[in-house]
Amino acid sequence: MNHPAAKKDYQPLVIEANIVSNRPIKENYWRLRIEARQIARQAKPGQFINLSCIPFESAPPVLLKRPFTIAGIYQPARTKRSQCIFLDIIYQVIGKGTIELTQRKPGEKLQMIGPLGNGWPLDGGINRTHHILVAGGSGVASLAWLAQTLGKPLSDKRRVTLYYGAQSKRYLLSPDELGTRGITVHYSTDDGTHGFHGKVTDLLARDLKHAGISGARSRPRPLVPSRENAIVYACGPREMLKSTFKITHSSGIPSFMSWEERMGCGYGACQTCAIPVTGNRYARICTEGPIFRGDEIRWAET
Amino acid sequence: MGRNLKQHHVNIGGIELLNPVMPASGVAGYGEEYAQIADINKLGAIVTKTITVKPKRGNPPPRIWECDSAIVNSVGLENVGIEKFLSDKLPLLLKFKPPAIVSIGGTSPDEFALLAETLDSAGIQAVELNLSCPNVGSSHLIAQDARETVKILRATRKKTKLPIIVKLAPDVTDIVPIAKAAVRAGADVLAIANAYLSYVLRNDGKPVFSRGYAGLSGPAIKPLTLRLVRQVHNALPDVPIIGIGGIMSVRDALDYFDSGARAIAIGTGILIDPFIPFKIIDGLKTNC
Repeated sequence: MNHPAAKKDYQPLVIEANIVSNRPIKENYWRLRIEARQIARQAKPGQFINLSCIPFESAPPVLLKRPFTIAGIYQPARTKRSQCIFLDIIYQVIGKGTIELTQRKPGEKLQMIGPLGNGWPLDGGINRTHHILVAGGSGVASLAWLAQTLGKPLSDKRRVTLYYGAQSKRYLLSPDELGTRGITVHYSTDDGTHGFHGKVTDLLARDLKHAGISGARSRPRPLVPSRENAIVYACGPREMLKSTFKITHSSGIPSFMSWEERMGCGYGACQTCAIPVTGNRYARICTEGPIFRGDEIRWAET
Repeated sequence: MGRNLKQHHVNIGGIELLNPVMPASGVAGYGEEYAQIADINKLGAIVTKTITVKPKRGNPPPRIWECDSAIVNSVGLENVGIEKFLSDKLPLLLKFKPPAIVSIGGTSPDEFALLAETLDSAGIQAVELNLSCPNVGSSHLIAQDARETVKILRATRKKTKLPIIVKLAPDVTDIVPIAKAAVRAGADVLAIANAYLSYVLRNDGKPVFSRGYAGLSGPAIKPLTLRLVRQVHNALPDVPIIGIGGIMSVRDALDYFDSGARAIAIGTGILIDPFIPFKIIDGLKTNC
């Protein structure tokens, strides 16, 4: 299956964006809302921004920008500012950059470049009815927007299912927090405090097996996912992506992976965000990704 | 030279720069990538990433790491190779207004000579010999050895009439004899310097990069590289120098000019804020 979204139909811009709000959601998850009309208007699920965590000084304590997946766009309704389109990111506070980012206040400006990257293949699975989204931890930010977008045409027979795993219940974001009300979600936690006790990929494997398609020859039934009607999108830790690929590849279901790596420029110049792909080469995650077909990744080298 | 920078055009060693500010090799890609987000026609020159005879796939990820006041990279000269560069990349590069400077890399005098010969009539303004990439081959760099530097310069000089820039290594006991040797063997301009060899570890005590050592750049290295520029300028006052290392602001640029550089290049700064070169170009017009 091709990745139609790989055709570049967006123009990345460098802007000094106004912070609208920057608040903790729960545990170490925060939501940053930025006023970035020109970027938000072009953005689609799976794309990202490369964001400075601090306004510039001659030598800021955080140097490089950080890539954040766009968690959604938001248009304030019926206000004088209806011209505004806000762009949201959901970030987990884990290192120097994100700790610095929590210090930013509304009204401050941060430089950002976006939209960047190919985004999820929105029409890649147009003939498929079972859209299976697999999210681990903060990876849910990218898939929540995809889930909303895929879930929009209410008339068709499309089923959107989100498999969503985290360490523990307190790290799980709710459908309200994610804007995914109406989407079927299967939860898993490593400690068993909510949903399936174990890895999200074990839950996925169990359900696919239940549907009778894991490895064994499938008998097409429209109501259950099969290699003929399903498509998988995954975003999360590297090990989760690996397991997702293993499970779905052996079942013959096409998969797409959102890939994360340390990044420099964000627009294809510096060649630092590399992923080993077929053809014995490295692809640039920022411009050729961040979404890759599962079967084009050289997994043994990741 | 000093601070008399009001004139836009600067001629260094036969290279007509539109102004004294350019990207360092690597961060502008082949030109077209940087052009997506910035008006690169305002730059003094466009310096490409390093081109080698054969395509190079580069080093395994991760290739970049941030530490205090610096970043460390290990790209490993990933590039499309000279053939594809000429057919796919150069035509676009030549459409831009600033002079094109092509960085070339290799492991032998023959490779450098071949690249220089191939590029001699390609429409570019100069070649930059990358004798100091910290992320390929052994940990020994060509520009750490005056005799090796001379061999490559001589072989290259024979094959091209283009101005030759030599990018020197900062990790040396004394940069002056190497700079002198390069100039004697035909270098027109010295680019001082490259990233510094460094070693960074992850939390688990394992090295970040597969090669172990990697190139450190960014604000931390400015005073170190300023010293190298000053030393070479004192010894070779007539040789044009491009100062490269940790430049983030107009003030940083002026420090380099005051230490003897006639032009400056920005590497890491462009990753931090892609508009830094333009802010400096504007700042130099009004401040000097």
